[in-house]
Amino acid sequence: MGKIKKIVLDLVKKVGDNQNITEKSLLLDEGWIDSLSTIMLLSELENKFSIEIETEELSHENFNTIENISKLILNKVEN
Amino acid sequence: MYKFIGISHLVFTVNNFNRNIPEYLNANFLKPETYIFDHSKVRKPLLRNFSNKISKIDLFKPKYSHLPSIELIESENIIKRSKNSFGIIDKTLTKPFKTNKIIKLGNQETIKSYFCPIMNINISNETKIIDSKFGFWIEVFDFESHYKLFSEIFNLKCGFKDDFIAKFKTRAVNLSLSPFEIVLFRSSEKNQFYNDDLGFSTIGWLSRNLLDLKKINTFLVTNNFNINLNKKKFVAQFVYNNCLFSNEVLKLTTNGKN
Repeated sequence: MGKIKKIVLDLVKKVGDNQNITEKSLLLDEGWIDSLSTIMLLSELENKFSIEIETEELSHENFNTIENISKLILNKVEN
Repeated sequence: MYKFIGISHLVFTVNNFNRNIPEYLNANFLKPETYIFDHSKVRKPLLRNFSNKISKIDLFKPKYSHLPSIELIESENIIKRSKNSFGIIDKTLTKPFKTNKIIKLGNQETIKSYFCPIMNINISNETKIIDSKFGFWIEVFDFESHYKLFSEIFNLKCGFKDDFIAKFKTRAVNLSLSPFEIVLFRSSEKNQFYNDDLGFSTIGWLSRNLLDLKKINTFLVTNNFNINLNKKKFVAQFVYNNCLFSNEVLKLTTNGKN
């Protein structure tokens, strides 16, 4: 999980174009990334982890924290 | 299979809005970003009057988490869409907006609404026809054609359908990815309205892929064209039949290519 979190954080920093984002950041609520960056992040995650994220899974809950994004990824990688 | 993410923006065609931003937008949206595009080659068949070929756009991003972005596009036309055949449902609409206009919602329910003359649209907060805080209704003559477009091509979830009404659930692509509902009513009134006629003219959709069809039932699909908004690049296409409103499908890219 720790390795996934680090990769997710790096990708979020890249799409958000901001190196100050941390594991504790509320990505959407605090405005670190905007809605379009979230869609870019979706593609980056799919490419990086060779997974497919369903459109229904693109939710505020899943994408507001590094923790929740990582859980989503972990769940897909394990399955 | 097409992967539609949700509604990026709603487009209203207006006259002279720069001098008088609608109070609904002033109250609920940030100051607009202005863009000018020349998409005249692909927009030509969507226009009644080719003098509107240059797209002069004001994009209003929402202040509140339940709203989509709204775009106003300038037109010199004077033809207005049938204003009572479509409208916004915003359940958070409160004072000072006076909902004192009584209209029929799809010939089924009488509701009170606030009418915005510049956007040429009714905005109601009282109907229980949707579960979410925000959505819109629209009466369409080609009901089945729209139903198939939304359900089979755009892959929207249809929560209810009978012979007269179809309700779809999607999301607004905003910071909370908030629920957004669309209610289609069957109409017996056949209209012909172009993109540059006044009122609600286009639904903007974000999708993870573009359509590879040229015709879908009564709808035609334009060639792809590029849009640059600040640092974001999109490839887009219109899906249209010039009856009431068109759909603009946008795919976010990093390099401006498909």
